[in-house]
Amino acid sequence: MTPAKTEMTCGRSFQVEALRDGRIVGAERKSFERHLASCPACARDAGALEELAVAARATHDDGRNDDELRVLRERTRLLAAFDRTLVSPGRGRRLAMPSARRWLAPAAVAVLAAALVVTWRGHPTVEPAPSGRASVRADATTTWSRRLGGGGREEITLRHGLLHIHVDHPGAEGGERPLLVLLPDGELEDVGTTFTVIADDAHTTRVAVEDGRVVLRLRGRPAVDIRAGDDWSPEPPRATLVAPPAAAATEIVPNRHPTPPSRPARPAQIQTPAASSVPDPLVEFRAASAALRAGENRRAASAFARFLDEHARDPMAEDAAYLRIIALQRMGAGAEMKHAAGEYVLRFPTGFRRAEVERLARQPGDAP
Amino acid sequence: MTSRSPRGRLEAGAAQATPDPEIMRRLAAGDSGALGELYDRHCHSVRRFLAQVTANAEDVDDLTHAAFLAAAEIAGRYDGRPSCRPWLIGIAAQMLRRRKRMFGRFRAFLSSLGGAQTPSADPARGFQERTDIGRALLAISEPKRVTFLMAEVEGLTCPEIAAALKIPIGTVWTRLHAARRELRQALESSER
Repeated sequence: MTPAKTEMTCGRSFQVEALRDGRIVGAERKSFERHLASCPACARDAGALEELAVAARATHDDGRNDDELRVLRERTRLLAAFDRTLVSPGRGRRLAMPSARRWLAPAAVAVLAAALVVTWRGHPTVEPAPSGRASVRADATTTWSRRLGGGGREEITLRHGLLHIHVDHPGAEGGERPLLVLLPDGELEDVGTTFTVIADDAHTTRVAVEDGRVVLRLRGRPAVDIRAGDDWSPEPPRATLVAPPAAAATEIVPNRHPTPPSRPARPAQIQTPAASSVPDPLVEFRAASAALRAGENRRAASAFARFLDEHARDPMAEDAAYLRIIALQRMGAGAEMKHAAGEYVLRFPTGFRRAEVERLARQPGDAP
Repeated sequence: MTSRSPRGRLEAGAAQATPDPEIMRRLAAGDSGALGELYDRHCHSVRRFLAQVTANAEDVDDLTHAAFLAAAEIAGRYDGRPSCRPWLIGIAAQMLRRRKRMFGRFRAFLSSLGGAQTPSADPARGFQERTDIGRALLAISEPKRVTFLMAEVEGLTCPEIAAALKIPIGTVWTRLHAARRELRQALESSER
């Protein structure tokens, strides 16, 4: 790439890099640019620098090799983390390094492990079994496996067959990565739930959620938020379902009522702000959230209550119920907050914020 | 031919409808949808930069997560430039530096225990699959690598890099010069 040093040289070649990095300006820059146009040695050096940069850029893949599902999963995790900071402004300072806690926890475990190694050196190492927060039932023909994946996340791989899964969650503040079920054509992320998933060798054919909520991500399709009572089956491919990554937030809300497997599933509804003639839940939710951020707690509480009335089955309903409690708590309306907390527990008995809601209900005077 | 393009390559989705400053304004107001838009638009750039620097998929996930959350936190201080990308890359570089410091302390602590194996901060998985330039990049020190990538691949100017990494601009120039020299030497030796 670099020519031999015995070739032509120039006394101003040191300025080639200076020009590239903006170290020379004004008249000096113009002078060197004129020189560069007529000096083969400097032009050669400049070309070598550009070649190096081009080679480095070529090693980048522009994200094309990014695992689509991984990026979507991380998007969900990011928005959930942002949501937590939205309702707990006091925790804002910890935003800058949220992963620190996740690094420190393994670090503490590693220290413990190191101590054990020092104590019991010479003993054979044993591959630890997965901790197994999930209880899994499979039918006789199911092919599946489980492991602890990266970051301590429990992963279940379903090749084909039926799995019935129940996951115990320690609470909203647990900070654990949700269970991941890897499917032939995508993945399913548990957000605190009991559910059944069926797949054949190539496709996911059914997901039925009994309690809580899961997020289903199939390759080339937007994420699907499936809640308690939902019974999801794949739809025939439709042009509107193939959304670009930017539309990943668009949620397909499947039939809210369980569909018998023998009957074709009702076509999925696609919620987009533009397509809806009724009040846009997203707009209303954002308005209510903005009121909460602005400290207009009474207005926020009313807006979230209205949201719950008008969009009771919306995927954001649980968020709205929780944020309403926060607004009431900040207003100092202890009795109303307790009532709202009771409503939350009744409506979302396995909601992933239940533990925090119950804590707030017990301590009405504390800021979250 | 001689000077770098100010912004490097155009990022995907450059022709999007909503300008970045508008997204940042909404994000500063607590709009989580804006964070989703920002992520969709720039996550690949940030992930790509971090992947090049750390070569560890888990680190890329965590650092990207941290960078976007930090961006959300300081969205109100965004300077209004048309593209957020250099700004996000700068935040990602800071996250990287903090992580390195933290791991440095942790390694020192582990070493003090004696006899314990210390974890590698840069496992460099997939090393064999990298190109010559990729291997050469991994062979130079992380500060030089980060500076070089910010300048030559992500298109940040030297003052922007200095501000993002909180180092004097002279240090940026020195690192760039050293990185180029070492990369060229590595590539020359691999060609022989």
